[in-house]
Amino acid sequence: MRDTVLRCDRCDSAITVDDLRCPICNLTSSVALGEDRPETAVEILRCSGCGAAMTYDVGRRAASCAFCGSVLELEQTKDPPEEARLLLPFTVDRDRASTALGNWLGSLGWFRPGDLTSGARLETMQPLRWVGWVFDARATVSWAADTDQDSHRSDWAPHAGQTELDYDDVVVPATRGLTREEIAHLLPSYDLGSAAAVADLVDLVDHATLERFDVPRSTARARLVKAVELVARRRLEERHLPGRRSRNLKTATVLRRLEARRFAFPVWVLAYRYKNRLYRTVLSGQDESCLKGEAPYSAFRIAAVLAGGAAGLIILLVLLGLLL
Amino acid sequence: MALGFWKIPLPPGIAVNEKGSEFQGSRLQNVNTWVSGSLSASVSGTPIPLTSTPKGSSRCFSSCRVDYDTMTVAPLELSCRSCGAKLVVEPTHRTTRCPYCDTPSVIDRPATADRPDPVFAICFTIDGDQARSFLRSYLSRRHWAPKALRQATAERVEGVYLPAYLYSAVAHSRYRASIGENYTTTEFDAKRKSMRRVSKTEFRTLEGSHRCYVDDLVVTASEGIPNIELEAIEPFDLTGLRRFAPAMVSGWTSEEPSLSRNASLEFARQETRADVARRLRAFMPGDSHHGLQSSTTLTDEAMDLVLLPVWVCAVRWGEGNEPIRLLVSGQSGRVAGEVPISWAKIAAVVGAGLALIGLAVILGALL
Repeated sequence: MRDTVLRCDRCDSAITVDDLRCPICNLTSSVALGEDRPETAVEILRCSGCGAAMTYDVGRRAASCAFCGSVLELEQTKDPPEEARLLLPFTVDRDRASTALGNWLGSLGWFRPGDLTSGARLETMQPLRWVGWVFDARATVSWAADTDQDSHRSDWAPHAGQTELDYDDVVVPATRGLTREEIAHLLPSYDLGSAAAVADLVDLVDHATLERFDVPRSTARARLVKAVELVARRRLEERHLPGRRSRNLKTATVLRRLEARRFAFPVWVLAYRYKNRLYRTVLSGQDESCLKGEAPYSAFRIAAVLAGGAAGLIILLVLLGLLL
Repeated sequence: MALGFWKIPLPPGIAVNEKGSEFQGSRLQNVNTWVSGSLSASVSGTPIPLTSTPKGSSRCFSSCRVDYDTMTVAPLELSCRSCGAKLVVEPTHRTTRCPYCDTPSVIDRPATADRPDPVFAICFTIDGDQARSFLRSYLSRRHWAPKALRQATAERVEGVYLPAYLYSAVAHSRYRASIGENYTTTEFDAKRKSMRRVSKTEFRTLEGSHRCYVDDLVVTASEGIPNIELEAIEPFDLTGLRRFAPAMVSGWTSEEPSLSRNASLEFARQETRADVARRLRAFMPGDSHHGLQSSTTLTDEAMDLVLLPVWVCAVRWGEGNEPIRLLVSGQSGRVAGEVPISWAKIAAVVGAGLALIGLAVILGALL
């Protein structure tokens, strides 16, 4: 199955040969339009088995022959599950990954248990690739909002505008395995330019688990459109709205030239045990300094600091009392 | 036969069924406020230049220029390919069955502006028996309908592929409105001789542009089924759209478009404008707004013919009553149609109510 080979005539978005309509603006694809017939034709649908005429049968959702029961299947709309096409290579191998965890544990500071680095035992380390869409698009976003700019007696004044927004390499995660915070932390560490198709991938790690997109293509597009809206709102609030504060932001988006690619991003999932508890950390497969995870705090040390602080305060008060 | 069945006259003076009338009412209202509030009386307004004109607008709408004489097409005479008998196919039909050998055929005429080839079809997923049972439960729930009608069953139920257009466009609007921003202020209360807080609204004028896609609008292309009736059995689930193939309609009645493309286009544009006006009202910021004026230009319009599955049901009830026509969506089973109400029932209920009040008054007088 080939992917993006066509462009929508109206919004210039990438569509596939399977799309009867553009998923963005719903224009009928040129593939769906049939050819004109110069003369009137009369067609009788014949059963290939017995030659009798076939009619559409509601129960079978297809044309069927009333005599011999054979069925002529109708063309089905294709909505295949999404698969990652471009893979980012691991540049951090197994040894460096475990070293990175050790370094990280050592760098956490005084409030962690003193024996964290020596007491933590690495339980599992799993190389995997989480999946997401990376899209480019252009959008005309019409917006209206109340902001504090030019306000008179009320705190708010209405403003409106229309802005062209460009989207370059916006990542929309499709993973269920990683949390939103983990992804936000990992994303800057990846080099999208290093992506390659499965066959051309030069990788430091063998047998990394490839996560699956758990949505069919149609759902994927709905999610992308939603992501476009979210990004637009954020950008408008950051850059385009006048004033410092805003409320009631309303947007209308005309999306064009949407092109989404499906990526798989490498990550090390490391689990270590410290005093009978498991802690999970994730490490970027492309940057060993990019690590996000959980680590225990030392209750004793925190209590000690609190107690010390309290004691200091009491002593201070007593001294003050004595002096006055 | 089928044609005669289409033309069941609807009894005059019968109230439109609740759902349909509400929708139509609000829709008309929308159009009215739209027109009365519009700055430029012509709804098309001045075209707003696109920053970048999308490609392919020529394909989208070259077919808008329509020659009207294409609507008058003579019945087609052909001989049955199975038994050789002479067949006459009405110009409004895309399918026929030979009256002698019952062989179903699908006719493919050359496309014209007003009678384009169907691009899509939604297949029937509800069969005749299911349609009848949907109809029965619909009728039994009409509590104000005459008893004979509530217990009636459909005399005939015919599955028809109804031609409709699927319309989409880009809507460019300019709007102006007074946006109300609330604030609170302190005022001197002369009576109480003290300050008090009052909330007030200041109105600011807001002008702007709005652009959006309007899509998946379905309008009828059939004279037999007006748009309001089609709306009443909508929505159709458009994920069920399939590329049209003769196998979908073989053996079923499939109508050709009987409304001119321009007439359908007008419906579509009207609905689109109402839809955009609705969106603009929701688009306004502030705590309130009034005096919203707008003018909308539609570009990149596209309209494709789609065949929709509809069970057309004729229900005969009581003696000497006109049969009524109801539609059942062949996809969702949604039922719509005009159901007469029983004045006798209403009179009985009102009478009972009056009697109760009278009784209460008498009792009150006695005690």
